[in-house]
Amino acid sequence: MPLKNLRITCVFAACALGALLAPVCALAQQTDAPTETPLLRFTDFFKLPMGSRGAEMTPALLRRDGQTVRLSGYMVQQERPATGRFILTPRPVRMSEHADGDADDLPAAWAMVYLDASQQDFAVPYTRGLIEVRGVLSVGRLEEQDGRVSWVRLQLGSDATRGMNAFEIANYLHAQKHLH
Amino acid sequence: MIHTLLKNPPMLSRTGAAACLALASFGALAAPTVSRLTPPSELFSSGNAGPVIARFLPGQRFDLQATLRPDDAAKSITAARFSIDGRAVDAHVALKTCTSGCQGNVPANATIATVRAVSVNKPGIHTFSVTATQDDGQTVTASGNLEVIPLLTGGQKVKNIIIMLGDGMGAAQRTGARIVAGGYAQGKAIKPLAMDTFPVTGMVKTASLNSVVTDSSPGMTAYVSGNKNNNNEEGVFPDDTTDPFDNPRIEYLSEYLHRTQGKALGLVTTADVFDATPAGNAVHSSNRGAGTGIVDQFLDDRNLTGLTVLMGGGRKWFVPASTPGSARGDKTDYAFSATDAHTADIVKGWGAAPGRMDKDRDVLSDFQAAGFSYAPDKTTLDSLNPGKTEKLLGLFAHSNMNVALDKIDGRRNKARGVTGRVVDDYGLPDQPMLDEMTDKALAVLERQKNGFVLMVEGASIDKQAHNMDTERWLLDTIEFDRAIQRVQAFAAQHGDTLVIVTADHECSGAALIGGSRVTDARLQELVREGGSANIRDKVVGIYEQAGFPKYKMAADGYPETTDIDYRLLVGYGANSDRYEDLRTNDRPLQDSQQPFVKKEPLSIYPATPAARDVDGKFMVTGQVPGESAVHTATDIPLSAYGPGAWSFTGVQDNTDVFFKLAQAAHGVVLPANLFAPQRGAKK
Repeated sequence: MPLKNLRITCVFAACALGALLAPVCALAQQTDAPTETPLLRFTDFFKLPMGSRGAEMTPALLRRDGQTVRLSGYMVQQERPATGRFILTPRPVRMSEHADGDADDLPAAWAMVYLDASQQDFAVPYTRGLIEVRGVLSVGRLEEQDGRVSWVRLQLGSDATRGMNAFEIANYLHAQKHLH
Repeated sequence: MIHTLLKNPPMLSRTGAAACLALASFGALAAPTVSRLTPPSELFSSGNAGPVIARFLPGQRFDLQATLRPDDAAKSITAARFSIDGRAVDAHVALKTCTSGCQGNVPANATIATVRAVSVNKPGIHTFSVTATQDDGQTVTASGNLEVIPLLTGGQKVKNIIIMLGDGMGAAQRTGARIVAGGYAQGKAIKPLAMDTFPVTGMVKTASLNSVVTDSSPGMTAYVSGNKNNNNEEGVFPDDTTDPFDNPRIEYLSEYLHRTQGKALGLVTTADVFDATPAGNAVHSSNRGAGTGIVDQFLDDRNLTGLTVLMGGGRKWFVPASTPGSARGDKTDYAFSATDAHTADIVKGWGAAPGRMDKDRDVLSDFQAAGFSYAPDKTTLDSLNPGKTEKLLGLFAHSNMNVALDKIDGRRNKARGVTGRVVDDYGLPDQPMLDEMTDKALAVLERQKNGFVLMVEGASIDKQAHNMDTERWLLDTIEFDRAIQRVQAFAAQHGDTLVIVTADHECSGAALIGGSRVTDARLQELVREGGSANIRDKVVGIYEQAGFPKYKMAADGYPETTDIDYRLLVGYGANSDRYEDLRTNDRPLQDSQQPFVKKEPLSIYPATPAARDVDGKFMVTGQVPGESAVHTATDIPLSAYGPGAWSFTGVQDNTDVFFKLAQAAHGVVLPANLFAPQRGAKK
């Protein structure tokens, strides 16, 4: 899998360590996105308006199943984020899992984004604003470990966390453990 | 727990010949112990007779349970029996060993003894006990207490009970909605909220069983079970098992009044219907997140609760797992055993449905097969003839419904999303407002000859307060008050309906800190300049600088805009870190660090609290960790209208509300200390 097709662009751009990591982010932004990778839109996921008995996948989504696609969206700010993955949505959503559980404001069209299998213990810091991810699309029902069911997933490659070197990750984890 | 028991020898006795040997060999600690006794009591946990924690109505059902621990890993518990006031409870005792299915801190040879669906009729404080026998003959006895609150002979029997539950709605949320919706003139409210016109108001203490800061589950269940639950748990007492559906149950108000008076139940919410507040009226689970099992239980136990109307969001739980977007799964479902008495007795004792691991179930169709008319949108809801609608299921969203501000913007064709309106972005352009849902619920429930219990929740007052999204919770409070108008009119017309308006807890520590000193245009300029010196110091008007913010209300009942000149300003005492620009959050400001802001798809929504308003660069340091504002332990107001309303004056525990509601349904009485005692009267 070409590395250039599998990365989060500047996933660390707006974290609390923004100033420290600015050079890293700038470097990541200088790399042009490969234009040949098709762009998938959240509005392509399900037919709109929603049906009265559930969602219906569009041909545009189904024909990309298994392909490498680009997807732009907002990383959901989770109160209890899991390592190795995050949720991407077409609009910013914050989830107060402690107070609300799965009674959330997620639209039907959301995607679970997985880091590479070698990075499953990576805690991806929340990133503000739009990000674009590239990965292999997987469509269909999957029950996650915590019981949440995802219908659209994107598997990233190992270079997706470029800009998140060990030093950055250590700082992030430290910040999580010692909230200021 | 063992040591606390030993500190209170009157509550614990050991007998048997083997006990002597054990004492001789291993010292005084060697004996089986009772590490949990349910219902919870101070008598058991601390040895103090008060306060009495668990209280019930005469005949209200609950489960007895004890966790029993042998004194050695090689031993086991062979028998257990419960008694109340020294008299054996004549019911089957189910024994579950903890070889599997128990919490990690419970030894595998522990045993959980349970008796299902017990009740006590005689008012007063009762002592209940469990006596367990270990396989070496030793026994252990532990005791707790509970109270049965009498139902007094009263006057008018209230036919209908309506609970208006503004989730997270503290005094600030109420006041803020009043200022925005009604306005003030020279210190006087021009138009009060509907809830302001209720004749009786009291304060409610909201603590849960395990915290001064409750969440929405025990916040709701206290009102409708009379008992404290742990956070995240609904209609059950805590236990030591991992199964979220096997906990000791407490009979809900809906179940009690359906069983004893034939009343129906209606649940209306702007949240996903499986959420804690609606579920906390009808579902028994220690996991408020177990959506598959929760919606199944709504339907399957309707014969216990009388569920007749269910409206809100949450379609994702009702369609089979094979349907795209379905959230149904085995991890959030349940099935009771047909052979293991631990859960089989729930079915036998309570008459409850056994449940089934059935993620592929089409619950929506099952609701329809059970006689529920289904409304997926406002148009369908409006078209339903309540005179011909026996039961009603309304599922207007995939998860939570959109909030009032976004629904109203949708109706006004006001674009806040890239594709047009937020409701379009969600694919749900035809959602009803809460007052419209409430009207239909009342019209359907009105046909119930024995009356009904209706809970209507303004859910996103809380959810948007978590977000510290001031305008969205303000409009949701206004939406909620418009629903209160509807039930007040219903109650005024019928004369047999008691309405209470309250919250489960306060959220965010919201405070109305003043008013803006500048026009909105000037505020936008100051936001562009940024920093606290501009956004805070030049904007926030305190005391007389605040004046009286004046919002212009449109014909639809909501402000024409929330971005007025000299606007109302809100601060948050339970806030996380955030940036604030004091304006309505309708779109994120462009972030120069983000290279993709011009790309598809929906790029103009507000991000999370810490993310939005960032261009203003007015960082408000949070007092709580994490990303969102939190619930607070502050007392919340309760207002009451209709027969029985006087009961709710004063400062009361949230569990008191249950007994007052039940008393009203039994016959209205005035509270004992409502009037000053006459001179010379005996104390």
